Formats: sequence, C-alpha cells, structure tokens
Amino acid sequence: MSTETKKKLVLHTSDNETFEIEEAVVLQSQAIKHMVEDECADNAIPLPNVTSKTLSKVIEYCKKHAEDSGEEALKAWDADFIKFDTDTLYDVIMAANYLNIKSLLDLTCQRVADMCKGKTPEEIRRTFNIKNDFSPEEEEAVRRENQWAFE
Amino acid sequence: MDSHSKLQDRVKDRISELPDRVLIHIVSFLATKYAVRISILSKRWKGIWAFSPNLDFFGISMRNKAGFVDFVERVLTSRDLDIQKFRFECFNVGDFSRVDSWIRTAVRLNVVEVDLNFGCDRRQVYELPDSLFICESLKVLKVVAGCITFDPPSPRFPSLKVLNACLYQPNNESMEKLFSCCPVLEDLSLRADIGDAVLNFKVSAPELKTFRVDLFNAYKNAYEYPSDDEDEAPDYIDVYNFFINAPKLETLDIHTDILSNFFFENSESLVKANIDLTHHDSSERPTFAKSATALMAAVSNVKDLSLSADCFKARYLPAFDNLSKLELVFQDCHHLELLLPEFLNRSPKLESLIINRFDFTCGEHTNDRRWSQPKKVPICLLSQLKTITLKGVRGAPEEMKMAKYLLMAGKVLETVTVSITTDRDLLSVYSTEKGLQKTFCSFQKGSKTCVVKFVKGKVRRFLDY
Repeated sequence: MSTETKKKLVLHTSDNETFEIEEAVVLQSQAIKHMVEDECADNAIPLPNVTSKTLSKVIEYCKKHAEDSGEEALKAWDADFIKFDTDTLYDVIMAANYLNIKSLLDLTCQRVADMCKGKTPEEIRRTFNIKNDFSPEEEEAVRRENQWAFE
Repeated sequence: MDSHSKLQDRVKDRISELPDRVLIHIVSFLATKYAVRISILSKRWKGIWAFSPNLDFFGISMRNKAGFVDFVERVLTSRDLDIQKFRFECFNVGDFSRVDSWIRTAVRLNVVEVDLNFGCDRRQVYELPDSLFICESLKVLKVVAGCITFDPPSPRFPSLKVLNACLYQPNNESMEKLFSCCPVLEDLSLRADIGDAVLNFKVSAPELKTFRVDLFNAYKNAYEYPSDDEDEAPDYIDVYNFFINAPKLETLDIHTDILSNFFFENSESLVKANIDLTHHDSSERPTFAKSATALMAAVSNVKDLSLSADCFKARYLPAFDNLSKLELVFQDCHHLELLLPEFLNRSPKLESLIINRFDFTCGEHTNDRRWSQPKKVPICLLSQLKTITLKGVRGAPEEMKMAKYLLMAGKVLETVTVSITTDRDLLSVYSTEKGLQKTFCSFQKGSKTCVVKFVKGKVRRFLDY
C-alpha cells in the first residue's frame, strides 16, 4: 500500500474562498490540466468567474466521477445530481464551460434541452424567462417557413 | 402592480446570456423539430439552431405527410455546415430514393455518425446506398431495418469504427458480405430477428475489439415437423454458423435462443466473454454438445466469463487457465450444483465467483440436483478465490450445502456477499430471511479474513432478461 500523500491543488473562488482538492479529481477540468502542465499551478489557481457555491457543486461532480462506481451507478447518480433550480443550472453550465469539463457540460446542456423538449415556444419562454422580441409578423414568418416543426 | 413589475425586471433571462458556443451545444441535444421551435423564442435564438452539428429527424410517415418531407428537404438543401450526426427515423418511408439523396448530402457534409431507423417492416427492402460504404468521414453507423441488400463497392467503410445493425429477417447474402470487409472496425453489434433464410454470418475485421450478437426467434424456425415416415429422424434445420476472423477481439457477447456454431480463425486475444443462451430446450438438439464444446474451447483463454445456459455438461468445459472472474446465471432447474465443481476444478486462477440464480421456476424436477462435493479441494479455493457473490438465494437444501462447502473450503476468502431472493413465496418454502442469515453466519469459515455480507436483492423483471 502506497504511503505517498495524494497531491492537492488549491482553487480560489470569486468570493474569496479556497478549496483544497486532490489533483486527480480536479484534472477532469481540461483548463486546470493545461495550467498544471504549463506549471502555472504551484500557488492557488484563481477562478474569478466561479463562486464557492458553484464550485462546490462542480467538485461534488468531479469527485464522484473520479471514483470507479460503474456506468449504471454513475448514470443514476448523475440523474439525481442534476436536479437543481435553473439559476444553479446556469451557474454550473458557465463553470463547466469555463473550466472545460466536457462530461459536466454535456450533462447540464442535456438537462436544459430536456426542459425544452415537447414544450411550445411560449412554454419554453416562461420556463426560462425569455422575452419575445419578435414582432407578430416576424414570428409568423418564421413559423410559416418551417410549418411542420410547429405542428 | 408596481411590485409585480419590479419582480419581473429582477427575474432575468439568464439563459440567453450564455455564449453562442454553449447555446449551440444545448440545441445539439434536441431533435431538429424541437431545435427549430427554439428559433422563435427570441431574436437571440433565431440563428442558433442552424449551427447545431446534429440533424435528427423523426416522422411517422413520409407518404401522406408532405410537410415532413419538405421540412427535411429544406433543412438539408440549405445546409452548408459540416454535420456531426445525422439521424433519420421513419417507419413508413415509401420512397427510399429520397432518403438516399439526404444521406448523400450528409456524406458530402462529412458526416461522422449516421443513425437510420426504418422499423421492422419486412416488406420494405432497404438497399444501403453506395455513398455510405465509401464515405471517408463515417465513423459510426447504426441501422434498424427489415431486409437489407446492397452491392458494396470495395474498399468499403474506410473509417468506420462502430457498426450497430438491428435487422428483421436479413438475407443470407447480406450477412455474408456486410461485416466481411471492415478495415478499422472496432465495435460490432448485430441484433437480428432471424428467419430461415440466413445460415452463415461472416465477420472479418482486423481491428475488431468487441463483437455482440443477439439473435432472437431463431428457435421458432429451428424445428421442422417430422415427416410421415416414422423411420426418418426429425428434420432439424442447421444451426447458424458464424465465421469470425478478428485477431484482436477482446470482448464477445452472445445472446441467442439456440446455440449457433462459432468458428474463430483464432480467439487467443479474447479477454471477456458473456454467453447467454436463453432457450430452455436448446440442449435437446443433437448438435448442441458439439457446438457448446467448440464455443467453450474458443473462450477458454478469457479472464472474465459470464455463462447462462441450461444443461451444460462437465465434458463441454475445457481448462480455463486464465479465468479470474466467473459468473454463472442459472434458472431454478438448471444443474448448477453439478456444473460448479467442474468449473472450479478447471479454473486454477479464479479470484471472483458470482452465482446468480433466477427467481423463476420452470417446474422441472428440482429434486434431481444434488450438490456433489469435489473429491479434492479445487486449487482456486485453496489459494486464489477471494470474493463470492450469491444472488437469488432461497435456502434450498442443496443450495445451502454448496454454500457451506464454499465457505469452509475457501482458504483465502475475503468477502462473501449474499443476496436473498425477493420472491417471498419461494423463500418461505425453505426458510425466512432472518433464518437464512443465521444459517450463513453459523457456517464454518475456512478463511480467517472472510466476512459474510447481506445485501438487498434487486427485483429482476422478466423483461430485464
């Protein structure tokens, strides 16, 4: 059994909190991986675009995915994990994009897509608070162009 | 009203603030029909869907639904961006030449993955277009179709790494040719509702690592009715033959209701095999012994084997010199107690054993099964076997004799996990959950480090089969 202590990396969030995480977990972020490879990660890695609340969620995901739990178990865990409110969902999407964690970005974007499936445009607007800035004529034109899609 | 409008202002449309790249990624998960609906959410979203790398069309029928055909036509003719994935699903196609022209467009736009689902109507014979065979960018092809034919140009599938075919009553010629020339194929799955037209499957793929075959309904075609002449033996149709030339094959997954003949050019690279023979009476066929022995010999090198088969006899089994993990899946009436000692004797390196018993009784003579204790303790029990998992335990006498022996003879056991059957009726014939736990804990343990754990059984639904 190896007595070597696992190397840890220090992450510094936008709201001035620090997280000390095992390197293996954090390296799922391609962005951080490149920093480590370029040897820019000896001190704390600053993450000016990520709050501690969001980073906690991201780390929770990375920790689970660094374990070897088996595909089915991991899928079930993901399905449970992703049940956040839309605000947190946006924050995690932005963080996954910024940190370049492909599997987390896929999971969160798929979640947004699933929230759109089968809904009318008006229902989707309500879900995400999107303001319709088309004039009635413009909207009608788009609908007519791809009529079948709106049936 | 004033506070209400203030609330509206505060609730922001954050999603539209995400960068283009992310919005496009979101839309890429949507079928094209839904992606297009997104285009009228707001001006921000109007152009986004056209950048989706994936095109995914599904429609019930092409015949009377001109709208659907026009939609697909317009999307494809106006597209000039490369396509990552092209998916098309329609069970009532009518005119395949339309579909082929769309596929040609996708090929021209360097499509990487093509997924076609035409349903299982045998009357619709689909001819795979040449453009797919010679497409340089194509890495993944999935096809669900009735009978398929083709006249493939050579060389074919220059970049194809993954091929999934789900076919209904395919013809013999296509099964001999489709998989026989795939230079870089790594993963092949064939699922087929087999009629009586196909006899031979030829797989020749120098880079193939995983081969999965799932044949169903073979059984119903397997027996011809005996002729009026009583002296004549019943006319069994030949089993199906697989000729496999895949020198790098690592994983073999067979799920079929009657056992076919598998001929391997060589199978030394195999590491993992999963063999599931679902039909009960397949062992009554005269060719079964020969086929079973040959298949076992072909997988004799594997490290990981999972076997579900009735009436497998000891003489079918070769030496399993490398076998480290073994799973045996048995129904109530199968002769597990006779087969297990033989497996143990032939697997000197076995480290992990899983015995998975179905909660499904077929009503056969369960009294015939008797645990026969090996005369000499198998080598693996003395020095290798570390974990045993027993699933679907119900406490029948012969079953408990077997468990007792394993615990006593296993000198290096570390963990024995017991999962008691979820079928309360079956359990109550022999014992109770608490009673079983007590019995297990009372067994003498041959290994000082052995721990017995009890876990909740998962209810196995019939469809999980």
